[in-house]
Amino acid sequence: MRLLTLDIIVCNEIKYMIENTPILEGEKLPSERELAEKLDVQRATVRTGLKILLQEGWICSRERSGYYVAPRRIEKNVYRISSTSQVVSDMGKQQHIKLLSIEKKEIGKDLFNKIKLPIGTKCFFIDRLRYVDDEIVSLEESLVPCDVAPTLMEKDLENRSFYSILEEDYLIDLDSSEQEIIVVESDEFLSKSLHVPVGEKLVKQQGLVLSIDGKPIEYSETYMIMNRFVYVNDDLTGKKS
Amino acid sequence: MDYRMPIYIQIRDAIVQKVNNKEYLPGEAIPSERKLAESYEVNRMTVKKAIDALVEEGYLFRVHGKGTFVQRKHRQRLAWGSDDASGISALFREQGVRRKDKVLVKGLTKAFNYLGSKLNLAKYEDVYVVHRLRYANDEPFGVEYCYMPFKFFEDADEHNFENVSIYNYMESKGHFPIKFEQRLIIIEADEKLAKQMGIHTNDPLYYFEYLGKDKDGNVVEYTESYIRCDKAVFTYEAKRI
Repeated sequence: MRLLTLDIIVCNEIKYMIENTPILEGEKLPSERELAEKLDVQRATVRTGLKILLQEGWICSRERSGYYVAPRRIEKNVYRISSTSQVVSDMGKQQHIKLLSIEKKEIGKDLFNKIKLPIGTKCFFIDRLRYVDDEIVSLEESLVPCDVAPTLMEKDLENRSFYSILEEDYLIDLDSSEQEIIVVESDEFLSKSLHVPVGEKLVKQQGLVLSIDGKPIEYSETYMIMNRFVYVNDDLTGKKS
Repeated sequence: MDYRMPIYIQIRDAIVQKVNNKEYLPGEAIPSERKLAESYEVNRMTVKKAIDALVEEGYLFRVHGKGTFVQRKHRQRLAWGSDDASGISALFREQGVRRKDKVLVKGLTKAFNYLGSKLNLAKYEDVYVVHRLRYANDEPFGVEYCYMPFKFFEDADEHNFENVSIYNYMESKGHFPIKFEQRLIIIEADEKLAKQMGIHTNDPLYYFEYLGKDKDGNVVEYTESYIRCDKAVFTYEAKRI
């Protein structure tokens, strides 16, 4: 086996062009022939390099037209609870939230363990769809105990960030959240909501947000389109081995 | 936990807590039903009911004539956070997983633009590469491509990174990474990765990219790590600040 096969080098060099912006998001990639000339490799090598980029979601293909640089991924911060809305607007992108439903229900056996409250606790069940640049990127299902935010149903859950409503309107001191990242396959409900085929892989993030006094504030399960998000942790200090 | 909860649920939760706190380790037997009944001052039937629930939930399993054991988890829960910055192997080590590495390829390559931009090297500077297949409990769980600036690690090739930890080696050269920037996305395995790890093409993988800097701010590693989603669950704890 070669150390770095040519296709990986080609793939890396195209990543470099995308990261360092000679080619911008949404723009068309040079043709296979042009890339082969530029990088001084065979066209077949370029083709396998492009396949890796497709797999990793750097580019997307449009039939009969070629390859385009995929939209930049939305960064999810791992060390700070931050509102995705803020991140999206910092990226200079448009977003909007569509409230699919909000209901008041008692929690049952499948959820009490997750939100760590007794069965029968009244909670708001909130389903929201997130659009970035008019494309659906995620479905967010949240559970908030009614006594935490009694008048949540009257709030503008489409235009205001969820955490700022909790902090500003209900004076809740959010403290920490424990989240887990897994992969699930889209069922019929998810497929319909997110406009993806049944069985498509989705990233699922689930976890509980606690207030400073340790009260459960929100349990959420978010289903994300795989190529639209990246988890970032750039504030890490390692411990001595 | 509410003290008014049924006794068997409280006992069940007490056992779960001991599993989570590693008082009862995976693969180990928990105390007998008789002993548990004695120490909690309850009827043996109550203990049995708690254990039945945990067996059903997959926390414990019974071996006839031998006792009740803590399930070995197939998916390691790996906490991605500040204390665990120094690599995946440290995470597994802490959880008592038997680990093994196999070096697939190693040697020198040129940085070119992409690795150059990651490692702060000029285009034709040398990069030392180690590709490893990583095993946990005798099964491959990931593939790791580690790139190091050759100028800091000129004798890297004399070490066998199947037995020597890369971080210990880096430390011996005075370039132990203490600060990390990490990114995580989910991708589907291509044919090559699938074959290496013994999974199917398009099975999901966690794909980590990390940059490690030493105390003087030199970038000393750029690592790409692919980890099977069926072998691990990544979790993280975020703070609101």
